[in-house]
Amino acid sequence: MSIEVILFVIVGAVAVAAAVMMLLSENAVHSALFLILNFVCVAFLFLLLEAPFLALVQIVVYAGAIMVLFLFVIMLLGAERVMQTVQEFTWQSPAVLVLALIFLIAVSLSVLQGEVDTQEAPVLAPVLRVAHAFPVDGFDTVDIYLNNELFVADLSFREATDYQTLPEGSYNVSYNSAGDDIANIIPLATVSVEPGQVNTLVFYGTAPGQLAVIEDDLSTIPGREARLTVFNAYTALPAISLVDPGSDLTISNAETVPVIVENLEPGAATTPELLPAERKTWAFVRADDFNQLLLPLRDFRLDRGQSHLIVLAGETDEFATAGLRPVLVSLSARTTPQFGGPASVGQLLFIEYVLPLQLVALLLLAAMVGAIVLTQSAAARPKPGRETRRKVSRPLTSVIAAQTGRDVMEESPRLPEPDKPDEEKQSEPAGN
Amino acid sequence: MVQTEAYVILSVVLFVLGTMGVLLRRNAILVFMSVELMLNAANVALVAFARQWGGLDGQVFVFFVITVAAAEVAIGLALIVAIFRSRQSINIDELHLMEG
Repeated sequence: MSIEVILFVIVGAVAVAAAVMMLLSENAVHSALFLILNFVCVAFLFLLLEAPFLALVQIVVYAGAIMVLFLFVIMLLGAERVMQTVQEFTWQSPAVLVLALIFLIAVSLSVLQGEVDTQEAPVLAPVLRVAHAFPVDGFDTVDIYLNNELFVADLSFREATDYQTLPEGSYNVSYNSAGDDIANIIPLATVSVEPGQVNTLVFYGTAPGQLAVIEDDLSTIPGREARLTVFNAYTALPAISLVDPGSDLTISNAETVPVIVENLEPGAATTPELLPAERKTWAFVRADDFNQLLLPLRDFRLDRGQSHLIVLAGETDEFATAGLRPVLVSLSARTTPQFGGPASVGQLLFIEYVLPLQLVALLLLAAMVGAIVLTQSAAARPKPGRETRRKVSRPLTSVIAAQTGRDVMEESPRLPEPDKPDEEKQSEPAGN
Repeated sequence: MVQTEAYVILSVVLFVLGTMGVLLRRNAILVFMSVELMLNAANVALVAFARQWGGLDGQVFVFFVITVAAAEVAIGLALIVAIFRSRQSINIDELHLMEG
């Protein structure tokens, strides 16, 4: 037996025992406390079921807010002693027991017979994005075609598309200048995609262009880390390196400078690597001479939970080495958030379930108003048999008499008569 | 990994216990607590199936169920307080007459 099974058996047994004790206890406060124990056990089961966010919501909302409300009402009403009254229907208890047993057996049988566990989790469709790092003149913006069908239009240099889902299979990738006729497309390469794959196509090189397929990894990143892949699309040099020269970007000693990526040839990519998420100051240098700075990366942010792809590309510049000036193409994609975590539940809630969320919020508001109205009307309702007129303990006349030192009764003919309440209401503002 | 069946059976047991509470207890507050127990049992099954299918929709539904339960408790307890003020009792056997 694995530790998970042992935990499940213990927590499940405690949950059932707490539910039974809730039913059997004589004191309503004890019942509420047993129900809290049951809710905590259910929250623990949620943790075992990979739902940490719901486990916390369960503790905060159920075991916290709702049960405090219950306890508050029990104590407010003084109803903790459950009155043992005479049962009006003596046949009810045995009937309930028999029906509950029948229901339990029926549902358990159907669950055990129904092969619940045979369903496999579905495999995700492949996704693809295209990055443009092709520096040849006349192709500043390109259209990319898959199997002679337009995949993305007007992709400008140093830009990339978002990930797009497409059916698995093999695709002929071709391109032409943006807006050009489809008859003029130039074939690039054939790419095959399989289910579950996440690929980035980098379009680079010299005419007629090359295509690199970089497999990305969007799986969940634990902790405060980011995933980094580096691709070299700078064809003017035989190899490059990525080093960490420190914030002043000066390399005093080429022997001791920390190297992030060493000797990356054009068209080669590193394997995805987990790095701490923080700001970096790095520099691309020549692989054979670390003192020749190609391109500094100042304050490059590695964001937590993101998968970064850095492409060193070349831009046409007649004064630079081999007519190419190094530029950076930086792509990032959000990795899959942890299953059942706040990020993943929140994404689903605010993308696909916005309308139900709003309706539930409205329902909560209505419930709040309803609760206030119910308690208000109960409190404001006059008790039967009591006089509705406000009683003044000291008549106004005696107060005035005490202050002025003489009796004002005879001088105030408009003083209300006690047996004429209608007149009193009218004369009250005038008297004040 | 514990099978989904085990969680569903546990959920059914808790649900039946809640139903028995609703049917057998005569205190309105305890009846309410039993309803909460039934809602929780349904939540356990929903989360178990969400893990089974590898999707999060089940967990989102549980979120909604918890919200609706909170609204229900707010209204229900206000009703109980109001009834207790007028009848001086929350025994549901004494409240079966539909009169003010």
